[in-house]
Amino acid sequence: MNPKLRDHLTRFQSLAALLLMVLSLSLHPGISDTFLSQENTLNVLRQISVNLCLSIGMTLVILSGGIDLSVGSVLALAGAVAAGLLKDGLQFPTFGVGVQFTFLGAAVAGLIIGAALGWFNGWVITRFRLPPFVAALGMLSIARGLTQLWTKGFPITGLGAEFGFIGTGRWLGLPMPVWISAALVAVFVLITRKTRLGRYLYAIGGNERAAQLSGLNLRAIKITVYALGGALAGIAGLLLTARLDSATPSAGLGYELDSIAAVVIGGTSLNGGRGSVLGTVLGCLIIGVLNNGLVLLEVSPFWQQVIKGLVILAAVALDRMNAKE
Amino acid sequence: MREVSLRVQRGEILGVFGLMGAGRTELLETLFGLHPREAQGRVFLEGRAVWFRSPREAINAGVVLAPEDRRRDGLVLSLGLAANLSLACLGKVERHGLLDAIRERDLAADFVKRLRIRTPSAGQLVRHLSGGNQQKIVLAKGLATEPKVLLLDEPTRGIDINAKREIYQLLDGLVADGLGVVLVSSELPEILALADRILVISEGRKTAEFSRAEANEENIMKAALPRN
Repeated sequence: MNPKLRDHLTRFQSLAALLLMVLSLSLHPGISDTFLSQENTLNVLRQISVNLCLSIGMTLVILSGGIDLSVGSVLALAGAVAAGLLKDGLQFPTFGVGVQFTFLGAAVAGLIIGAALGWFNGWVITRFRLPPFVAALGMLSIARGLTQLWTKGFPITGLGAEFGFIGTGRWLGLPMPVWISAALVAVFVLITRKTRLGRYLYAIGGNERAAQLSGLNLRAIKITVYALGGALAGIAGLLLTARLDSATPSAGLGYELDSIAAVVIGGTSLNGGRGSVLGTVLGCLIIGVLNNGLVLLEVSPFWQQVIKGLVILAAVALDRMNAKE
Repeated sequence: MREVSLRVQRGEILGVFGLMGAGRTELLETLFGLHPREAQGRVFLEGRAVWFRSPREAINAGVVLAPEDRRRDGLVLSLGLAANLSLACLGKVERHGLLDAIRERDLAADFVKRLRIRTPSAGQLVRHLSGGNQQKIVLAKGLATEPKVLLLDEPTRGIDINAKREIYQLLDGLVADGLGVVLVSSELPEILALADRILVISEGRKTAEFSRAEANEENIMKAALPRN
């Protein structure tokens, strides 16, 4: 089959799956009222915006032929650092000096932490030629450990209204996280489709050797991609922390799975080189509606995990079958 | 690769002949900046000493490689014709810092016409094109960077006779316009027909150099065979 047509078809498949899910939940007599309520709709949108931020970054990384399993931990550390700085500032007891952080300063610090960890991932992968998932597994543990150290194992709460606004506030009736993630989608759709960096991602993911012989600086591009992925995980950490008014040491556990699932369900190939940010938006919506539907149907959380795992396997299997054609 | 000195002038095709494993591809890759640490030597471009540490530096200086294995090294099969063609010179199809689809299509249309690439459209995925047309895209991608020196590795391997002839004609035209070409080929008739001078390498060393008048199959083969 013509691959371009196939890409359209994958997107159409995802769209059809989403519509089918929405339709069946809407028609389900027990929950249709709750499901269709404005409150629930906004809730779903707000919930997926954290995953969406992560998944945009994951899309970039996977397009370039890599993978990042550390985003959940990076999210936790970025959120915790921002929360800690906001609440207590930075203390240097030896000098008797303390630095206070404004809400913006703390948010930027969280973002920088995310980008720095991502940069480190990219550096390790390119410098030592490690398989990306190995490097990311290392970072998964490192960032989680640093989060525990920074929080001393306790949640950091009481972060103030200003910071809380980016998680719980609304503008023109829509939750702030939705605006923020929508803006990020717009920016990264533009980057992937209309900039050199975007084209480089597709080229490297499609054929790394050909990309190198075309004069692309593989190292710089890969490091940039992982740093961007880390920064987006940082933003996701800020959104989550602000929404819960709390940064917990175990925040974001297992989020990398939801994120990879959204990317793959959205039609991006795990082999790299094929896919899109818009597809990932669709993937996030599907995961979000699935989660929401299972909760509303009062399916046990244990079964929810089983079902989600099966959906992910199905999506990856479909991707493999498509790739073979 | 042990010891090879070569010289190519504007408007000239230097043929490089060697048997399998003689170091033909390694020679081109080294000139292209792919083995900056393993290789030693001196390279002059228009009288100035250059030493490329990466393909990027080589391309910027006007040296480009069209690799032998087009599907493995030359093309991104998951991208379309136009995107492959512009990959080494994306700056040219940018406007206000963004990729411009019209400029990219124009660049592709230009080369499709010049190289007689047979394709249904500029967006066609290259995996669906024939070997000859894929080879032309590899050449076009290199030429789009406006090189001074073209390093060609087996440019006609596995393509049909028509495409072959068209590539020969193209090379004639390019050389007439002043391009310098280093042509690696394992087909003796091809080298004899195209090259102005012929360099023979064996076991990583240069073993002979012939002018077009001196060269024949016999003395080339003799120089190409390993000594022991």
